Amino acid sequence: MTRRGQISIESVFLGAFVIMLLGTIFSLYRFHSLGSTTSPGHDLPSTYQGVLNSLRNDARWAGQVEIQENAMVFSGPDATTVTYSIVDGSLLRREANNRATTLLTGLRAGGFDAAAAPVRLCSIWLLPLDDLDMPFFTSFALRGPRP
Amino acid sequence: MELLLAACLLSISLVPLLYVFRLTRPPERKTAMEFQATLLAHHVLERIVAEKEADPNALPQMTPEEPIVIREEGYRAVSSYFRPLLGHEQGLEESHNGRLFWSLKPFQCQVDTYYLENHLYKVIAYITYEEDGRKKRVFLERLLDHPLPQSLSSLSPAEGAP
Repeated sequence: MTRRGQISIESVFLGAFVIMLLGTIFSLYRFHSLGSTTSPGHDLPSTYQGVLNSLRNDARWAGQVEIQENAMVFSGPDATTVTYSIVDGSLLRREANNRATTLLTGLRAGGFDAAAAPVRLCSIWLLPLDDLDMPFFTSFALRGPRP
Repeated sequence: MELLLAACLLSISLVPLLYVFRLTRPPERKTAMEFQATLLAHHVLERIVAEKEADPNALPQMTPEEPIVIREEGYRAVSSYFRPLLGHEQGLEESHNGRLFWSLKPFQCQVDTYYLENHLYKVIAYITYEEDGRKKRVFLERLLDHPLPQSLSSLSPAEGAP
């Protein structure tokens, strides 16, 4: 039996339960809404990380690199080739005769470079369209067997 | 008394809530500068690996903190790990590629090296920069194998001796 103006222990537990339930629902909503706003396409470091991983994987098996106009061709054993090229502001990767896949879009400029022989090192630089976005520059040592 | 008890219980019920709230925060992402510094440290180590592969006897040198592009002051040499860069023997200047130059200018490169046991040589590439008024540093490290220097090999006991 409760007296007027006082709170029963059941009401306190009920209040705590309601607060926790509402808080959990809010946290779940927050978790899902944040997850949907950070898609890789809008997160430049994540997109760059994809480019980095792709180039690093190809540099592992490639024994030779050839720099062409707006393109870089990795060659490996068994005449395997992979071409990275910059076409219409997009960075593309194409394996031999397969269809090219787009790794990055929205580029203002970019290029490739290779160190003088016998050092087997290739470099890539990319400038995004938006001047406020950070450019990409790094290099990769070729780890495949020398031709 | 009962009000006090109610307040206590309600406060305690907020503790797991705060924990759940913290869990749902997005993970701290690398800032653009930190990511760029990581890419530059990656460049340095890859260059060292490529030079070592071309000449197995070559070992990278320890260097102090040095700029990675040519600065207008001109009295500090560009880090040898960024020379040549994109076809420019003395390093990158503003006139070569303005936007890339300005994005690389805030960074400096330092390389530390150590001889370790078992014919190992440790290389640590540091890239330093300032962000929010604080000096920050990103580093990547790598172990290389090396022939023992002549001075040390003469001191060590002959291998295979009885």
